[in-house]
Amino acid sequence: MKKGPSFPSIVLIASLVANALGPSIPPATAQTSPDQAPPAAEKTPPSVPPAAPQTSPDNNPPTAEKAPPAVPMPDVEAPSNRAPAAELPPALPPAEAPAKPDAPPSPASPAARAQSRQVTFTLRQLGAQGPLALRGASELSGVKFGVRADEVVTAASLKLSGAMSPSLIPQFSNVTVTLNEQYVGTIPVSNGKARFDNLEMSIDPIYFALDNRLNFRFSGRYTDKCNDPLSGLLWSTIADTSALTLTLVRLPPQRDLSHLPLPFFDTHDRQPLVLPFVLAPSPNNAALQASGIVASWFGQLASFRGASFPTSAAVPKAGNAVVLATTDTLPPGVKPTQIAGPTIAVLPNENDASGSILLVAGRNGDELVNAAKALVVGNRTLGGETAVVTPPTLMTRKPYDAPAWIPTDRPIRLGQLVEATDLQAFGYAPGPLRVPFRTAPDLYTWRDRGFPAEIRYRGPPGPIVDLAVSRLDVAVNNLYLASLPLADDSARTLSWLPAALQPKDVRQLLSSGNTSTVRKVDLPVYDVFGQNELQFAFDTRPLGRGACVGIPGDLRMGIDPDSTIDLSRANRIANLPNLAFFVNSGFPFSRMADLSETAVILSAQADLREVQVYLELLGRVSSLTGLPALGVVVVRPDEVRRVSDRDLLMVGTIDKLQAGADLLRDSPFRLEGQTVRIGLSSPIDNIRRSFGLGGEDRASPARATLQAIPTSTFLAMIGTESPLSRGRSLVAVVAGSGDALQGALPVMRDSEQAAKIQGDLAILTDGRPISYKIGDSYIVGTLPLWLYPSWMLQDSPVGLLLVLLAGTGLLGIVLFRALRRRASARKREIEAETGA
Amino acid sequence: MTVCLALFSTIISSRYIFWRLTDTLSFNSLWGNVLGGLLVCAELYALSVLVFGYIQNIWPLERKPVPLPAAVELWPSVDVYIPTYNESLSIVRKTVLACMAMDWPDDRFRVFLLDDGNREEFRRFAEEVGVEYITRTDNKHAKAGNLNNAMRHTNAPYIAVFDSDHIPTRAFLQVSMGWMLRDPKIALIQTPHHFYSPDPFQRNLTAGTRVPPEGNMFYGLVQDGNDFWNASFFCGSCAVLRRKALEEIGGFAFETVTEDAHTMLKLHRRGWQSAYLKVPLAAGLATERLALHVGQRARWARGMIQILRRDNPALASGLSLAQRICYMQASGHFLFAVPRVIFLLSPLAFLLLGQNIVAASPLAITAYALPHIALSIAVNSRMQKNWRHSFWSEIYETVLAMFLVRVTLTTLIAPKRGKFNVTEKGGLLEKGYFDLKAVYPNLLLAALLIVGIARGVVSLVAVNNDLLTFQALLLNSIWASFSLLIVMAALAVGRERRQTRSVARVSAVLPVEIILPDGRTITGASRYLSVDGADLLCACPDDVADGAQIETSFKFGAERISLTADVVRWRRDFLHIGWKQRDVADEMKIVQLVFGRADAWMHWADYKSDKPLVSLVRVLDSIRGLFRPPERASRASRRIGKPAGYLTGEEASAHNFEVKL
Repeated sequence: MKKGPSFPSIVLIASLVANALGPSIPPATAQTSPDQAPPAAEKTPPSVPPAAPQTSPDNNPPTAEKAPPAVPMPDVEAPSNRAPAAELPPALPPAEAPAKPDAPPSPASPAARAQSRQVTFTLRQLGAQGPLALRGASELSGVKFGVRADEVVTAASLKLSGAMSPSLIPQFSNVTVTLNEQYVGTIPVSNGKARFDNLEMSIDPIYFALDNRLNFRFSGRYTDKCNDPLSGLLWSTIADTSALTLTLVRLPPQRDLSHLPLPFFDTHDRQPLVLPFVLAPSPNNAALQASGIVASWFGQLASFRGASFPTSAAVPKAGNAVVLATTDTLPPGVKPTQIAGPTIAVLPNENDASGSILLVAGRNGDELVNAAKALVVGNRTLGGETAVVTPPTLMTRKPYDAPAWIPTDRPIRLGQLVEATDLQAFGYAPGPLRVPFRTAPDLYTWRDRGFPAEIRYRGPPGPIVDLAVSRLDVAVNNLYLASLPLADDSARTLSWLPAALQPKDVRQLLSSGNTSTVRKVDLPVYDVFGQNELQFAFDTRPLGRGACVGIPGDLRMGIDPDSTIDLSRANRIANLPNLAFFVNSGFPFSRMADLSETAVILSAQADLREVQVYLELLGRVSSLTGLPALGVVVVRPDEVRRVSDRDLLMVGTIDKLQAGADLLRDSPFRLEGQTVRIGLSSPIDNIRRSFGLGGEDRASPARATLQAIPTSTFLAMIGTESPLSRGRSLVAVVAGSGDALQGALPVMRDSEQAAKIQGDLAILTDGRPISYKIGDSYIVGTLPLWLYPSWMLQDSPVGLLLVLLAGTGLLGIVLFRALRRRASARKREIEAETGA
Repeated sequence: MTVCLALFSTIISSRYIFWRLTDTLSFNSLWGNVLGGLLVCAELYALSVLVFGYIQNIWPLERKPVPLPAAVELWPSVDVYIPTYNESLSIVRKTVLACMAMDWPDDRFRVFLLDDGNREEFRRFAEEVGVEYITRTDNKHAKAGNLNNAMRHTNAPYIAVFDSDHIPTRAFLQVSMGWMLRDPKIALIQTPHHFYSPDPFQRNLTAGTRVPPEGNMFYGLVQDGNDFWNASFFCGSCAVLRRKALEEIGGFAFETVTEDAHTMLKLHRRGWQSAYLKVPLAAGLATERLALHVGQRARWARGMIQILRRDNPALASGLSLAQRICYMQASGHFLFAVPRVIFLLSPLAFLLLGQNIVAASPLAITAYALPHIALSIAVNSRMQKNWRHSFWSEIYETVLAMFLVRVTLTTLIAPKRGKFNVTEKGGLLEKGYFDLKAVYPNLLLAALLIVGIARGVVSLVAVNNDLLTFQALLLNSIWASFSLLIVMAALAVGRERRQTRSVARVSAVLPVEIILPDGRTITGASRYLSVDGADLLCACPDDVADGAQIETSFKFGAERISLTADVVRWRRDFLHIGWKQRDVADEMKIVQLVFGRADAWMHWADYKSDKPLVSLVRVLDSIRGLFRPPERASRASRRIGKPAGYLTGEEASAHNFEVKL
């Protein structure tokens, strides 16, 4: 049979809006093989995507993620275990909708019109790190945002605040606002008044696309004649509180499995994902495992946005929801055609016409889990409204192979981490280029040697910018590392040689024509955590600045995507417990990215509020690893023996977890009543302390804090070694009540508060963590044998000295004996001669 | 304990040098690279000297003398060689007479005067006293040639060698030969060189007499440590060698100007052993003035570097690892001049040129270097005990460094070339003076350092520095101050104090009987002895006039030596006499009395064990001496005998070689 042409799913994206307006297609049946592609697919070859909006390359905004509809979505390119998109039969209707995707939506059905909503985003919410600062030489700045594919913008307005230099000449100065390079409005200079407040502009909704770029371009003159573009008088600031208000209309939902994760999750939506889960009131282990897998998938998709999964037993009144059930626990209002094995279906929400329900079901627990796994692994191969799936075969993972983490066995090209376009800079001093990368936090190198980064970069030559002062600043996690000169590399390193010896000509002869400059920078080990960002900031100065000299405009510079960072020096070892690792990287659970060495312990009577926290925790871990938690298992406290070789994650209210309290027997912590108590110090500790060896009593302040907290709002995280297996970890997220427990995730998502979670006990009550380190440490990970001494003594110069003294002492004694033997041998030898 | 400490110090110092090599070598100017590279090379050298020194001195063997067989018939024949070239007879005759007086069966013991100067005077003297006289027509291969020539004319299985100024005690052969008989593999018995006259350091430095003489370190510790590794070597004199061994290597080595060490190196390579006996059995004259000292050391440096170049002990076959280390240490030691100058000048790179030649923060330098320096001083102080006091090595080296730089470099590059500096003849010094010629490079150095420190201090006080610059200035100023301290002490050595005794006196407490002209006998004790006379302590009878002739009778052991003397002065208990020397027999008795006593030099190591801080105070004290008002020439003194110039043996041998080179 004829294979569908290898079209990229740009078509899919581009046509979605159009599809939304057209009649929906009958659902295809489950497809696990392209051979079973429905005939409809062949009859309806995809239409050529409509012309993309005009974009002039010159006006490409800095750091713009190129996202007009004509560009493939990154998802398509993401290497994964999913089936290739090309083999998907296009379950798409003919594009009957208006040709331009960003055309104003034609009047939708009355029901949809009723679905219109108005949302307001400040620039900060849209991604601005602070007020947008515009200068004479860096005149362009802006924000990116997306619009959900199942919504269209019907009206939009902009309310701008900010200020502009009072020295500007109104006639020649203004800030131009553009949306996707379309003119929106102008902020004029008002004489004698620097500030502008709540300046309203309406935006033609026709300008909106799925991914949008709101730009501000500053242009100013402070004198009639000669303007120094670098003059401090040329500035304007757009407040990050400036707001964009959108009126959005919900389109009729497209309920087709081939669109998954739409409509439940849309990558263009940069707001946190809120997706209700519907479960039986007291779900069994299988339902919990299945829901965990599905939740982690959505968590992974939501990525930086964060995801929350309000869990209830009933289908919500409005909006989307995920229902996980076996045949006997189907909630009311969900009526699948039939459940004949592991089933995945997209159904309408009975309570809300525009809402959809993702049903993951099976006739028994195993089938439910299989359905969840199939959904997560094989959603690209699904089609239609309902599919009965076969359980997927899962790849066994290796430690530390999380897709979102950079591999530590080889140098990694920056081009693999971000789009090449994200490494381009525009203007003389553009904002930093950011290359986020993640890894497990348990990095250790011999003598803290840094991770080498080979930075290749290109900039304009001398006559354009002043190379003597122009530079590229490199930082990691906002910590400045180095300034790399734009001037020619080799010329600098040899500059101390007399001029006659500088082999310029030779260099030119040997040069390969690759004109990028290469520099090595070491990233300090202690600045590399679980989540990192490598930052590059070009800072250049035009040559011959000054009055009446035109400076070259539209400067472009770039980091070569072939630049590399190399973490292969890292050894994987860490001192645990360290709750910071858990909060920021899901470590040690995320060591196996699919959580196949993790067991979640929920109380036998766990209610849905506790389940929700469990789901959100898994979602968070998967958002950090980039892989759904396919290997996770859920057990009850009385079943922990079965999972003794796994890392344990315990979630629940303390009163219900009493059966699991025994797991903390080796730690100083006790679960008592509705709170945590700190056990008495062991006799050995007391003896140690009385000799002044154990350090200060760390438990007392924690004890005092614990006593002061009312039990109903008590919420804490505990880390300790698993009592079942050495080197395994136990992390417990416990609270005095179900309501208090739900406060855990918001704290973890708040990066400012999350940074305060450390040690082995973090009290999260009030959302302001207080952390303690009370118990003993244990080591997770391995090192080459010869590195252990270095690891053990890394923080202890006195210990090092003692080892050194002991070592020299021992060696000295050995040597002393050897020397003494030699001395007496020398004498005996001589005496023997005498005897002879 | 010492072993552990040496190990500890080695590790700490290695840590320091590792840090220096890995973290502190990034400079961005030509001068920074050159100067920084030089400094780090100097530090590498210093580290290797430190560590090899630990190995070398880790276990001084402390060999005890072995008694000879009771049956005198078993004692072998020995030839005694006294090589001379241009030393004055007045010096040589003492040595010859002392050699003749050594206790050994007369039929198995011959003394040879090897006169390379071919002087009639010497020939007559040899005839007169009854020793063999050997001379030759050419002076090929200098001292080694002279000795080899003598070997062709003699045949005893053992050869004792004495430089013409080294006067042996009578016990020399009996004490040293025991080992030769006991162990047939031993090719050499070396004994210490002791100097009964003060060296320039002892004489010119205020604290000079309270610290061990320079040579004690080598003869008290290094050679004894070498012996543990079977690596002690021949020092040219005061030693017994086995003829069979020498013949195996073709006689004394003549390829270098330090024939002694090279000879033993060759013997060691052939598997022969050496023994070192830390008992001073002979005494000589120290180089008298700084200029002569410099000349002598220049020769040693030259010779040792020649060995490095021509017969490098690190590469030569047949040596054990430890022997290689010891020989490298011995010959490499004389490369010290260049690193020493670098260390002294380094702080100036920052203070005067503004070059930071250690690319690290001053605090880090302190953190890494301080334990390294403190530990090496402490461990060395512990190992060197009473043989060498802390910081004095620096002074000894600094005195020579500027002169040796050229010698070191030329010899390294062209081992066969290079002129030898002719040093002036010594003599009495009526007045103290400042020997500008011997110290002018250090004077320059001191001036530079003072300018550097001044600049550093001014910048510290007057200029508003950032913290790093402040620390760097402070560190370099302190460093430069210490350099200055050492250089000043070295300068103080150049301030020659007057030398009022033409012959050195030897302190010796012996019971003495004095027979007055009227036959009365008075008993007393001696305080000082010299070849001219003696200071005695005995009650003065009122009726003895100055100038009266008396008989003295000294008793030591079972023996008694009687000499006729004139009373020079007798006040209360202090009697000062001058010998009446009528013939050679008298002279021989005098030599026997002053130099020949078996226990004459046993006090050679009577110095306090090192305390680094005390030692530092002594260095300061010595510098103070530099600023003393000049001495007056006519200070009352107990001057004995007539002034007479003499050449030291070392200087004489310097002359010897100057001709050849």
